Amino acid sequence: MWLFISTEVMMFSGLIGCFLAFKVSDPHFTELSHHLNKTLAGINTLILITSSFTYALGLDFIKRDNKQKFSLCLILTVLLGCAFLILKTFEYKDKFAHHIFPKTNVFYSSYFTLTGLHGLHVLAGVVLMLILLIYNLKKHFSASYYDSVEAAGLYWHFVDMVWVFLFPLLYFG
Amino acid sequence: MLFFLIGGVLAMAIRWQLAFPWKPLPFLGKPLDPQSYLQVVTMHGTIMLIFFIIVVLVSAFGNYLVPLQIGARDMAFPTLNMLSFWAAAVPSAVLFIAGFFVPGGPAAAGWTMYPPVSAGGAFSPSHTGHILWVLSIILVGASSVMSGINFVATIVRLRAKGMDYFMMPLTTWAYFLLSVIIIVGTPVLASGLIMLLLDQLGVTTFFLSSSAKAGSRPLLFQHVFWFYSHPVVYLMILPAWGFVADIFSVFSRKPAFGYKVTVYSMLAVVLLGFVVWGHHMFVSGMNPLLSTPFSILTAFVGVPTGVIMFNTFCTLYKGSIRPSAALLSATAVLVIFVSGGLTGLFNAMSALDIYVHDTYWVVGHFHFTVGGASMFAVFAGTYFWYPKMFGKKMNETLGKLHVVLSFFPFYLLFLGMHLIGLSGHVRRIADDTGYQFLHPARPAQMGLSYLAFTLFSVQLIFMFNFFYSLYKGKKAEDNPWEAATLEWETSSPPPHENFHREMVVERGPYEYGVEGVKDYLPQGVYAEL
Repeated sequence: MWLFISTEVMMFSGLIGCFLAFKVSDPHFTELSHHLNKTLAGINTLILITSSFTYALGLDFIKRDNKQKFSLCLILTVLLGCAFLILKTFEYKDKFAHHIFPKTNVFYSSYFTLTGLHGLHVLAGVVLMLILLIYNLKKHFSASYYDSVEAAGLYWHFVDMVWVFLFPLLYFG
Repeated sequence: MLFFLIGGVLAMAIRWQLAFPWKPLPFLGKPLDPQSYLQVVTMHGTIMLIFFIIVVLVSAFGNYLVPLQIGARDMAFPTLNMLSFWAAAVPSAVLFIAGFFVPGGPAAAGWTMYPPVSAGGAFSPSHTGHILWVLSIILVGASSVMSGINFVATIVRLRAKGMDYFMMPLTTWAYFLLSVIIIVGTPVLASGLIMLLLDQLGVTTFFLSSSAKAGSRPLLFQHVFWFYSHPVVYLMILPAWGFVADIFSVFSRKPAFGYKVTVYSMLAVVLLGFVVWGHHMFVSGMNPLLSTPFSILTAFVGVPTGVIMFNTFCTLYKGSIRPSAALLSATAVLVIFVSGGLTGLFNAMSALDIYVHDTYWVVGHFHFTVGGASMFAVFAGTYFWYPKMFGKKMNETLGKLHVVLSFFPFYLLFLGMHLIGLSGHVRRIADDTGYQFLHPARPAQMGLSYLAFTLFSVQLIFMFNFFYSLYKGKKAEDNPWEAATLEWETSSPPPHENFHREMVVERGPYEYGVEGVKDYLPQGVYAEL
């Protein structure tokens, strides 16, 4: 899983690197970043960080063989992940309503691509957790077997970390 | 698992043959218009680099050989392996070939696919082809990444008992180190391709836009592209170096000279390879100040490369040579790569590169280093491991004939390209007759074409030998070459679990010419001599 995460790190680094390259050469970026909704994104950041916490809690429960509480934590994490995506959708809709699209300029190209790709990764994480939930309900995991739970946890924390980087980069240009 | 890998090798060998286009000369019966010429050039490059070298030499040979050489039953993640083939490589190939059937034809922007040509519908009639190309390469990149993760996990976790890292054969080391490149480099290409794809679909304006206010920067694509594509050429050559080292060892009955130094040099090449990408961009319009560090660092890469070549050569020196097709082919790799590598040093000097950029000098250079070395490495690997893979022996005489008959046209053909390139013949142009200064090169161009036709025809010997031996070849014993590495201690072909018993290792992989023993000591402990 660590290897896979390093590939993801490299991919996002490529995109973020390009964003920085654009930013350095373009004086408008700082001004444009003010048009983004910091409050909404701030709430989203808190949501994701909390979801990482609920997941870690769940992992702790399954290590102690508490399958019910693990399921509960998984459900909480999934709900938080979905909340993130819903808020993101509102953010995007708001932009589109103001006729701001990815092709308006490079800042928005980067913004939509970075957050969009990140959003897809959040969605993938949510799906992954639903799969884990189904497995857990079938009593697949226990205190002696939780390897995939740990691996998925790494993935989810990674997705969270990427957002923690993206948030200040994009919104506080 | 083994079966579809072998099938993959076969299929790619066939596809490779189909993809070998000859130079389209304007008076040759079937005239190619300039757009089609560019498409042929683009597809030839992409098929050879991606579908031949990456899929065959790296993924196919690697997935087959690595578990065998370290004494493992299979790769660490067999399901991931299957996914990487069926869910990524196959769809990638489908999308790629689809490019030939869409309006506008396949991609025509060169395998390097620089925007704006590759991004804008207004710049090229092959827009759909370009989109399909990008989608296809993203998928094959994903397949590659899965393989890379698999290689690392397998080598770290599944080595046989007693096998330290410095007891692995150099082929396995090569695959281990190239996985570093896959893991670090390929995702960056993915990010660049995603941006290109979004631009192509008109969603974003990273590299291309209709308004100057948008802030697009096409040059950025080149940086991202070459950040991956330069290390990838080292990725492509590493298996070749590994094969040559192992094959030389077996057929000169000597341990690989300077084994540890070679490993560290391979590592140095991998690491240095990541910081030299700008040498593809000396004339691109990037800040000329950057040319200096890229130039110097590129020259540095030559040092470990030279060390590896030297060590490889020294393995042969004063060895007890057993001539075989595999050895001949491996020698061809060495000769061709060193020739190409030497011109690489010239290219590193930006002052010279500015003159030869986008001429046939560069085409000659990379066909030597990438094309020739990989091609002869695939031959060498096939001649060497065919008995293991298929349980039959290929015809040695035909093999030697094939290698010799391929080597001379190959060498002359691309040496010739160096020469016409030096006189200023630019690349990727369909018709050079319009240029007054290139008229002296016309007879040379024709000669080169005949060499190319010869080279292509000679491959039929190889194809014939390959398929004929499958049915009528002599049955191969477990260890026809008397080699010491682990893959030779199982039956030919190996059973489903690769080995008949758990392998335990006590020695290095190159115990040839050991005192007091008949000739060599196999790597596994319980083998009878």
